[in-house]
Amino acid sequence: MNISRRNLIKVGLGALTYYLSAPQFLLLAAGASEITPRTIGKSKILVIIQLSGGNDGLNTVIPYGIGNYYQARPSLAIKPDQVLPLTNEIGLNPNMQGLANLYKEGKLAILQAVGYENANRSHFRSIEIWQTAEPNKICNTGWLGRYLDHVNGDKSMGLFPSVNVESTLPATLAANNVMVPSVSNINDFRFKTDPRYYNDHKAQLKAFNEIYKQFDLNRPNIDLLREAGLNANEASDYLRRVVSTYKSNVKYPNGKFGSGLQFIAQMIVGGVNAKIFNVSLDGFDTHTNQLVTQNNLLKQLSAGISAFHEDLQNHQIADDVLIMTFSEFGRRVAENGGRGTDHGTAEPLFIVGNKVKGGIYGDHPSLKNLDEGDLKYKIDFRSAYASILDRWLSVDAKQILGRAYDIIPFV
Amino acid sequence: MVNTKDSSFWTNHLLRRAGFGTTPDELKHYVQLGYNKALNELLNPKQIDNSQLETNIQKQNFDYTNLDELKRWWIYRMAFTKCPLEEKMTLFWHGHFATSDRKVKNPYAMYGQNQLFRKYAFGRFDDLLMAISKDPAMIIWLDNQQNRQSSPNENYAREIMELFTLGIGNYTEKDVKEAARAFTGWTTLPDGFFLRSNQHDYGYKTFLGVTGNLNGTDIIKILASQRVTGHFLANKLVKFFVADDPDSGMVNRIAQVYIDSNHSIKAMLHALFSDPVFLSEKAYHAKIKSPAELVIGSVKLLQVKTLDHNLPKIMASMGQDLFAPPNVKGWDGGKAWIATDTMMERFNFASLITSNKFNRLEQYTSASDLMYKQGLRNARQVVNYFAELLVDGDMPQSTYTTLTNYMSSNSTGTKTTKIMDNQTLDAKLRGVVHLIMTLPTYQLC
Amino acid sequence: MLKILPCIFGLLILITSTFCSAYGQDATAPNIFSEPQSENENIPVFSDNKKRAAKKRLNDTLGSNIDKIPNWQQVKMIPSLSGQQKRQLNVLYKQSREELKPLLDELKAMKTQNSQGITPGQNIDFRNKAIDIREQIVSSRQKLWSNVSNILTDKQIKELDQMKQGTLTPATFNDQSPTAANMMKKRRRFIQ
Repeated sequence: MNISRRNLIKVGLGALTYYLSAPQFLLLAAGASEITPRTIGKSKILVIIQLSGGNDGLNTVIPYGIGNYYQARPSLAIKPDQVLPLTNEIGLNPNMQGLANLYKEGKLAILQAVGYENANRSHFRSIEIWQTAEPNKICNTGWLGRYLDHVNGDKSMGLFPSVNVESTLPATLAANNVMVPSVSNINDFRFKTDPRYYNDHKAQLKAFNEIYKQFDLNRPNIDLLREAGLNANEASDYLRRVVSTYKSNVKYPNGKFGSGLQFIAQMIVGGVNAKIFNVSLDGFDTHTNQLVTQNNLLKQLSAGISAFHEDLQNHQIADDVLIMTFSEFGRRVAENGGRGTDHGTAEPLFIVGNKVKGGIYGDHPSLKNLDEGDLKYKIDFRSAYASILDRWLSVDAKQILGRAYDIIPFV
Repeated sequence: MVNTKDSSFWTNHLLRRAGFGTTPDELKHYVQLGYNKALNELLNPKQIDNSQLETNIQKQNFDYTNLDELKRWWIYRMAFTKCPLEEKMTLFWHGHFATSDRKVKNPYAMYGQNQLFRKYAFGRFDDLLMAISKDPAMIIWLDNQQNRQSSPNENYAREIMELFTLGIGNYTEKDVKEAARAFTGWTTLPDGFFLRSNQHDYGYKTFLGVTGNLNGTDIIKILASQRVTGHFLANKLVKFFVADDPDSGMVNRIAQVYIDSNHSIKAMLHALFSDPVFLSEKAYHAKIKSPAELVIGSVKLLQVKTLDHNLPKIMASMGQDLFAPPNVKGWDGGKAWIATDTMMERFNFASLITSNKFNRLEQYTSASDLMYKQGLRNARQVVNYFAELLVDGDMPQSTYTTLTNYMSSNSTGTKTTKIMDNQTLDAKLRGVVHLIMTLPTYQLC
Repeated sequence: MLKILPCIFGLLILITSTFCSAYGQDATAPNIFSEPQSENENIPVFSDNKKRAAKKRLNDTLGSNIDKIPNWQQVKMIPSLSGQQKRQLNVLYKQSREELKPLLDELKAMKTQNSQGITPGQNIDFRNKAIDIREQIVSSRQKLWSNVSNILTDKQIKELDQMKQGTLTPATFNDQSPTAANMMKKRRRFIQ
C-alpha cells in the first residue's frame, strides 16, 4: 500500500543519479533560461483530471430513457425534462451545460461503462489501480510515470517533464527516473528571506544553492530532500517568469479546481515544456445527500473544462491539448437509505479536445443485468489509456501497459 | 560512529520522536533523568503535573466551537505540554482514525474526538476501538447513522477492517457485509452515541469465522483479538515513530507485545522505544519531520513565546491540516511530505520565524551583545553553535564552510574581516539560522 | 464620538497579521534565543490577528459585544436543540443575513474607496456614514441575538457558553447505552 512512498525514494535516487551523470544537472544549475521551450502547435499535451471519491456516473451521464433508472433512484434521479439530452436514451447532468456545448461541437468523447474485472471498492486500492493500471498486483509506478520514464531519452524534457497542480503527487505520475514537481500556489512558491534585509537575499540564496549542491551525507532521505530543495528554487524562478506573461479574459470557476486549471493554462500558454499536467477535483464520495454535493461538483467540472478550453482556444493552442477525466469507481445503481450512493464499479470517462472525435463510445451499461447491484463494465480502462498513449502521445502502448489493449478511435 | 554516543544523545533522539523536540531546558531535564526514566515519564502522563498548561490554556480564551481556534488550541498543547508523548499519540490516533471536519462540520464534536484520543492514548486498544466506534464525529464521518437494517451502509464496516485493525487482504467482502449488519442502528444524536434498536439487525451473522447474533461490540472484540491487528498496529507505530520502511523483525517484536500484553498500547510503545533498532545508527535522523514536528519543533528550539496566528494555515500548506486529514487513510507521512512546493513552504516558514522573532528584542539588547554573552567570538563559532542546537551538528564539512563564509561576508558577498555593525550582524545571524533551518538534516528527526 | 474614529478607519484598512514577540521567563540564558526575564507575568500566546483585534477594539469602544453573538454554525451545535427550534433559528439567521448584506456591501465599497485615496481626514460625511453603518450593523445583530435568545432556553444558552469554553462534557464520553425511556424521548426530539 506504500506505493507512492516507496516510489519517491526510487524517484529521488534515480533522478539524482540521472542528474549527476547527465548534462541535465548542469542545466539545472545553470538556470531556467536554458530550459528548452515547447514547440507550439506541434506538441501533444495531456491534462488529467482526477475526480476523487468515486463519481456517480449514473447521475453524470444520465440514462433518462432507460426505464430502470427512475426505479433505482427514487430520490436521486434527475427528471427527464431537466437532463441535457445527447440521444433519446442518455443525456448529461443539467449542471454540465459547458460539456454539452463541447459535445455539440464534436469535441467531447464519452466512453461508457469503463472499469475492470473484480472491481475493488476501497477508495485507496481502486484509485491505485486506476493510477498504476495494475489491477492484479501492487505496482511502484503510475501509467503516466512509466510513459515519462519511457520517453526520458528525449532530452528536451528538462525540469518539467510534467507538472502536478496538487500538493501531493498522485501515483499516476510516479516514475523511476523522472521527478515530477508539485506546485499548488505560484504566489507563495518562491524562496523568501527577511524583508528588512533585502540586500542579503542574494547572499542567502547563493549560500543555499552552494550548500545544497554539496550536501553529501549518508542518510536515507538526504538525496530526496536535496533534489526537492534544488528543484523547488529552480522551478519557482522559471514558473514565475512564465506566468507573468499570461493574459486572459476567461472566467474560471472559483475554488481550487478552477484556479488549478487556470494555472495549467498559464503554463501551457507560457511555453512550459511539460507533456502531462495533473489536477483533481475532490468530494465525490457521496454516501449521503448526494444531489446538492454532486451537482455542485459537476458544475465546477464542466465550467472549469469549458473555461480552460476557451482560454486555450483564445491563445490558439487548443489543438495541442487533450483532457481526460477519471474517478476511482462509479457508484451502486440503487441509492442507499441516506439519499446517497455507495461505492460501485463502472463509470463514464470524458475526453475533451479539438482533436477528439466526439461522440459516445460503447453502450450505456445495463441497469437490469447487474453484478450484485453493480454495473458491469464494458470497456477496460486500459483500453482508454492505450488509445491515448498510442494515438495521442505516439508511443507503443504495449511497452507501458505490459500488453496490448483494444484501441478506441476517439482521437 | 553513532552507536558510541552517550545517553544524552539518545535521549535527544527519543524526544524528537516521542515528542516534538525540546527547548534547551526541557532537554536538560530529560537528560538528567536518564534514558529509561525519561521514557517512563513520557509513558505515564497522568503522573505529571501538567496544570500549568491547563491554566495557561484557560487564559487564551480559545473558542472550541470555532475550527481555527480549535487548531490553535491543539498546537498550543503540542508546543507547551509537559507530556509530549500524550500529544504525539493523540496525533498518531488522529491520523489512524482520520476524521475530517470538512465532512463532520462540528468543531465541538472534533474536540470531543480529540479528547477521546488523549484519554485512551495509552490504554487497551479494545477500549479505544470501542470508544471511537461510538464517537459522534466518527459516526458522521463514516456514515454509520445511515447504516440501517433495511439498507445497510458498509462504510464503517469496511474502514474499521481496512484502516483501523486488519489491513487490506485479511477479510472478505462477505465479512464487510456481515460487520455492516452488526453495526446497524449504531447512530449518534447531537449529544452522544445512541443505539437505534429498531434499526438494528438482530439476525445471525458469520464474521471472520465466528457465528452468532453478533452486534458491534462483538465485532470490535473479534477484531481487537486478531493477531493481524497487532501486526497492523505495530507496523503503523514503527512507521510513525521509527522509520518509513519498517524493519520486519522489529515489527514482529512489537506485534508480539500486543498479544503478550493483552493489547496494551503503552506496552507496545515501551518496547518500541527500547528496541535496539530504535536505538541504532540506522534510526538516527532517518525520518522526515511531519509539518507538526517541524513547526512545533522550531517553536521549541527557538523558544518562541508568541506563536503566529496563522500557524494552522502554515501547517496546512505544508500538507498537514489538523482536523482535516486528506482522506480516511490519514496522512501518508514519510517521503510523501516532500514535494517541490511543500519543501518551499518549509523554507519559507524558516524565513518567517527567523525574520520575525525578536522584533522587539533590539529595544534592549543587540545581536553583538548576544554573541558576546554566549561567548561566540567569530563566524565559525556562531555557525557551530547553531548547527549543534538546530541539527545536532549533523551536516557535512562543506556546509560549515559555506555558512562560515556567508556569516563573515557583507551583503555584497565579499569577505570582510572588519567588525560588523549591529544591523549587518543581525541580518547575518538571522540568515545563518534561516539557512540551517533549510538544510536537509533540519527536515529530519 | 471622535475617539472611535481611528478604530473605524483601522477597520477600513486591511492589515495582514505579522509575528510579534514577547519576553520570556528564563532567568539564565541557555542559548542565544533565550529572552531576558520580564517583570510581567508572561505566558506563551498567539499573536492577535490585527483585523480581529481592530474589530474587538471597535466593539469595546461602541460598548457592544456583537462578536460574542454566536453564528448559525455554532448555534446548530447545541446538543439539546429541538427540530422546531432549529427551523425557527434557521429562519432568523437567514433574515439577519439578508438584512446585513446591503450594509456589509456598502461598508466594503467604502473600504475600496478608502484604499483608493479618500482618507479619513478628508471627508467628514464619509466618516459619519461609516460610523452610521457600523451602528446599524451592531443594532441589527443585537436584534438578532435578542430574537435568538428568546427561542433558546436558559439552559441551552449556558450549554453554548460551555461549549465555547470547552467545558461541556464532550458528547463522545456519554457512551452508556440509553435507557428505554430517554431513548424514546431522544428519538422524538431527533425526528422532529
